[in-house]
Amino acid sequence: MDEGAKGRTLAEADLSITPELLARLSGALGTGSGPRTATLVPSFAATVGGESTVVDGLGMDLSRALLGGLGYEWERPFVPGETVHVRVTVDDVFTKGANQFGVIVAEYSDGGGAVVQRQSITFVERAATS
Amino acid sequence: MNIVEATCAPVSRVQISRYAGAVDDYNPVHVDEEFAKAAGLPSVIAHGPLTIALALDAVVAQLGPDALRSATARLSAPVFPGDELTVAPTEKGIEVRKADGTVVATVALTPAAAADGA
Repeated sequence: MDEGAKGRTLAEADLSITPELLARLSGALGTGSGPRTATLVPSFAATVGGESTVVDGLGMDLSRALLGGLGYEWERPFVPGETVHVRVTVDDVFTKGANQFGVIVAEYSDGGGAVVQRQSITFVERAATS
Repeated sequence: MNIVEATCAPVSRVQISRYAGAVDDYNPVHVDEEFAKAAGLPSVIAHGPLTIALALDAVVAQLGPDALRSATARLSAPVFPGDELTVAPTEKGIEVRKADGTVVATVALTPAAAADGA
């Protein structure tokens, strides 16, 4: 991973939380409570900047990468039909032992600038074997 | 938080594909069997956020979507198609286990203020 990526903004855009989008997520969960859960757990970092936003932004080798952790801080659930502003940034890149860690944060705010939700994703890149 | 143990339906390839489409995450380790095997895995794996979403869904089913202020999840093992996940309460939140007892994720939960006394 690129330790110089810390603090970099990878993508920033307005995103419409359409009922269709939430329905697709709910459909993937496949449960009766799925429609309510979908308002909490959308992950649109890839949607905003393209599929390779995070991978390229961190300079990550996918073949050695794992998802190590996720964090959600909710101010409220998403409301179907609302438009939010999404900013995806590299919060941290560091080395611990033989592995590298990259933390991506996606912050969603509403039209008035109030934060709706903050998501963090921690990737672990295992050391390359020669 | 008053959460009772719940078991999810087995994770399926269709479910993983649907999730990939829902969040636009087509990382080949989730959708390309040959890529996954070349990476040393027995098959494709579920997206970590899908595993956590299923775990949180078990909580939402019991307490509703407004009950939570935050969730901090640590993923510890991959989830494969066919895995049946059980969500069990812990002191700090929930734990997600496979049928063989393997812990795939631990999730610390903070209740929303209104649900604090729950």
